[in-house]
Amino acid sequence: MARVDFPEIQPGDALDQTVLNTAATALLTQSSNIDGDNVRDGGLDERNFADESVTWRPGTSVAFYTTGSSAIALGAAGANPIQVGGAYVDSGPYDYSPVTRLEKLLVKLSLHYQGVSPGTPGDAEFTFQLGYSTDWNPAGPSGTWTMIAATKRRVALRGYATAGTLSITHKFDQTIASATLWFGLFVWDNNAAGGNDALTIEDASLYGIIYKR
Amino acid sequence: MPLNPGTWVGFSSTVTDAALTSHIDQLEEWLNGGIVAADLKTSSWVKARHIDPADFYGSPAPRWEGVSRIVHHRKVGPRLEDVALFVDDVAAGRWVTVPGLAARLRVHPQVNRSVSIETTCSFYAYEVGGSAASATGNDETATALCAEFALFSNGTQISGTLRKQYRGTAANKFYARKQHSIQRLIHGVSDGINDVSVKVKVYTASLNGDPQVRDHKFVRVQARNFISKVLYL
Repeated sequence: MARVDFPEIQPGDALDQTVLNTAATALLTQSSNIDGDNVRDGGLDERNFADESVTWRPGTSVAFYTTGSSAIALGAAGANPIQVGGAYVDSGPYDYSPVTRLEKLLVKLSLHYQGVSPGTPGDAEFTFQLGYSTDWNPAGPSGTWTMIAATKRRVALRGYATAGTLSITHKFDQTIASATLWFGLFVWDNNAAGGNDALTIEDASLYGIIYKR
Repeated sequence: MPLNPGTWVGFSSTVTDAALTSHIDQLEEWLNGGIVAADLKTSSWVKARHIDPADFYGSPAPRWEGVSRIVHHRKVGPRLEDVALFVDDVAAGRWVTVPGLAARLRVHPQVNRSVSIETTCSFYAYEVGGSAASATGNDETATALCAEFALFSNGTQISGTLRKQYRGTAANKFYARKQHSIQRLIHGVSDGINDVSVKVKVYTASLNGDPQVRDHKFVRVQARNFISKVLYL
């Protein structure tokens, strides 16, 4: 506990400059850390007071597209994220620093899909997966993408126009730091031999939130 | 440094009553309200995150209130007696709030910080009781569309959140039963009350010549889970 200690003056002591200056010096040089005596431990938690402790990247970081058929790659992910309604389903750029700034990043995807009939019954299986890039340029388009393994989802539609909803929430677990981090959605027809299977993606929402500590 | 060295000057060889009074006055002023942030050390172990407990609230609006966020959470189990039931002869073609998928969030006024509301929800929805025959094959065609769900904020439908529900009636089409989910961040919300909810719009059913015989009938919503957060960015 921080405390200032003045020299105790006893009756009969001479009051001179030394006594007073000693008292003043004790006050001027007082220094002590706040410790457990100052703060009630039972009331502590992880509440965060920092400004901008949560960050959402605006602008191109969110994709909301309605009623657009997407071009689906065959057999494997395409070179770029899928397009819905003429725009890439991507999100970024994020200024992300997991080590130096101890930031955490959650990326979230939600969409509505529907198969296109007639496809190839027993064959039409689609893969959804998020990827990340540190050099994505949508205007190019150009960039190197790395798939995020934990975000892979597969949907089997058997060639019918069956609809469904898909959501992915992922805590980005890479330790890379980048001021230009992007996320994108990749979708492909899983069976290269089938072909002619199609998928409609509507109402896609992709965004990320950075939590700071 | 607790006292300004520029004003606190040590006593000279002769201690006068005026000097003593002046120094005591300075000390009194500082102790009684002159302490500023620079007078306190900041290199201690206590950090901002240690201070002030979070607040938890139960019914009727269960939520957790922190400083940088407020989290409202709603949950209704999967039992049939807890179902939210919608039919087309009540508000057909109009958006109706689904009980258990709604929250009223209070956004505290902010200075130099913007606010977003992030909503995550999941629910199980299906239609039963209608008379329509099964569609061709296993397709869910536009004519079989019986209801739609979407996220709303203060009465406005939020883009990118529409979810379609197809009928599953005569042929007992269980594949038409859907576990829907929506994740959406609404940026730049206003201070004060913000109502966020999932609404359903049931389409008017064809009566097939008999009011009791409808091509789709009961739209059920079960296992409703809803989390909505106020994020002070």
